[in-house]
Amino acid sequence: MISIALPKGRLGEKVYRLLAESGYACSDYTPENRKLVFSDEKSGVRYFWVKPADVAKYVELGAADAGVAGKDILTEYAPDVYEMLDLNMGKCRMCVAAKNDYREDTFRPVKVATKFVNTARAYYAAKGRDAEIIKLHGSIELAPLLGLSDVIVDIVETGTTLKENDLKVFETISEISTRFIVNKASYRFKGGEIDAVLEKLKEKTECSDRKDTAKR
Amino acid sequence: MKIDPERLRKEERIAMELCCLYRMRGFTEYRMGAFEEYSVYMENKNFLSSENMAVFAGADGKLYALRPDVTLSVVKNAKANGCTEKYFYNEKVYRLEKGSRSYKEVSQIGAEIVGTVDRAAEAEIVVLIKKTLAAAGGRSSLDLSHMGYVNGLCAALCASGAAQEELISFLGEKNVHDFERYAEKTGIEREKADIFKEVIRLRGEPKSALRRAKELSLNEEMRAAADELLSLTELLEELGAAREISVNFSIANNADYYNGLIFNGYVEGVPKAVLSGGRYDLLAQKFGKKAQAIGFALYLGELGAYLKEDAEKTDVLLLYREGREAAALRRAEELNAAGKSVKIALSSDGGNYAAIEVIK
Repeated sequence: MISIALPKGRLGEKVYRLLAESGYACSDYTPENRKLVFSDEKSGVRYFWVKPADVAKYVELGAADAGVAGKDILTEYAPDVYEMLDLNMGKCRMCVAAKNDYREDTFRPVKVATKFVNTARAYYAAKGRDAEIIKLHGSIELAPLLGLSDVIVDIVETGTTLKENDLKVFETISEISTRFIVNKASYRFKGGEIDAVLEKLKEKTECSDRKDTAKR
Repeated sequence: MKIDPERLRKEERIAMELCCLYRMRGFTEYRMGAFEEYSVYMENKNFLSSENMAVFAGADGKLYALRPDVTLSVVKNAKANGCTEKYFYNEKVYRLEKGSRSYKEVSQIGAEIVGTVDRAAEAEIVVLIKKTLAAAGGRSSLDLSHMGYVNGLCAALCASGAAQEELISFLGEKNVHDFERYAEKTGIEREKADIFKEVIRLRGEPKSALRRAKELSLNEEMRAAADELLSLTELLEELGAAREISVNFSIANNADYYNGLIFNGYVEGVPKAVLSGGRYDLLAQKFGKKAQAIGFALYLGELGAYLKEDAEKTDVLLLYREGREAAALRRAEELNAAGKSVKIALSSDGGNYAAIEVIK
């Protein structure tokens, strides 16, 4: 039996559907159900729904053998896990954004509001730029509008929220997508089962990737 | 009084068993003070898993650190006069864990060989590791890697400094997809990139994995490392000790200190490696010793957190009243002689006892 931590929300449900189509369905799963744990003896899997930012913790500390997490979370928390597959989903970018008319004043530290404190700190340190990091938990876009910060470091999917708030992307830090991660010790003892899941997922995601490319 | 292993906590039992095991192979116990001059650790901070140490000023004005590690001290104090020394230790070390703001005391047991480290010494260490993991209980798994192979591979991909770190992190994460992007961006040749990807995925039965690793070699350094590991696994096979060992180049220790064989050990039920170590001739050289060295440490503290201990239990609660002290203590001796643990008390305390006896 392998246990997989899935992020609550649309993306997690999409990954669950992929896994279910690959033969890892749970008979007691329905999208409306509010149960946090699903398991199925026959397919040999158990799923947990957890907060997306927590998936990496569950996997690193062994509460789950594997999990599905965004590269943004993996970069931010740097968990000691294997990152074995890019699911090519949930694509977005980690960006520096600010008000449309923002002009950087390089004589003083840049004030940065973000949920991704480590990512922001590392980015500015690599540029040799002094930065004052302000950790927020949500509505990051509000910070520059109210003068709380000069810029924000956040994930940008379509850019609609930014546009509606008169903000725009100034720099792209990195490309983000969803990854399949595995606990290092679990891979020693359940390597065969985990490889089997990976193989199936790879087929699925590669063909959906091809479809995406064809559409474009 | 004879020691009844049943009366020990699992962690204590494992520690005792291991101390006996290492003594049986001629390792002598190494004892060190709780703290040492900070400079020793500071000059070799890359050898340590974390740079953070609990530091304080001594009465002589020098800075001292609570020991974060034992190996450094073993190597520093080794005589290295041409003889081979074998030590083991069972100590507490003090470290700042990732993401934590307070120091943690962790029990560590390990063994080190300083002097001549030949094929026999490496195989003996692997055999001891397997016995060490077995003492920890359950299924275990030992991964072998070689610094020469990893360094050779990085050199073949023309990486040094930051680029090498990047490649080592792709190996450590078994991250093929991000490596592909990196290879494209930095213009690593297709052929070499394919080899790197196969090395990331390489695992399993050591002999066939190593033969493949040898075929994949891009330079003499990699070939020599693969050969060295092959010869070691052949010796282990001869000893019947090659099971539950796999080759995995995703483990890499600091290249300033480690040179040859390196390893990581896992025990089922514990989510991270409980044992690690390797060949660290370079550390010995840094201390100016003409010696080779190899060693490993079992993080007993980490392991202990996952061992299921039964609740502490006393066999008999012996109740007595004032004036009956002698009778109570005599009865306690009798019960002990019969192999039963006993607690004498004036009144019941709601603890966990198999039986209650009352002295009238």
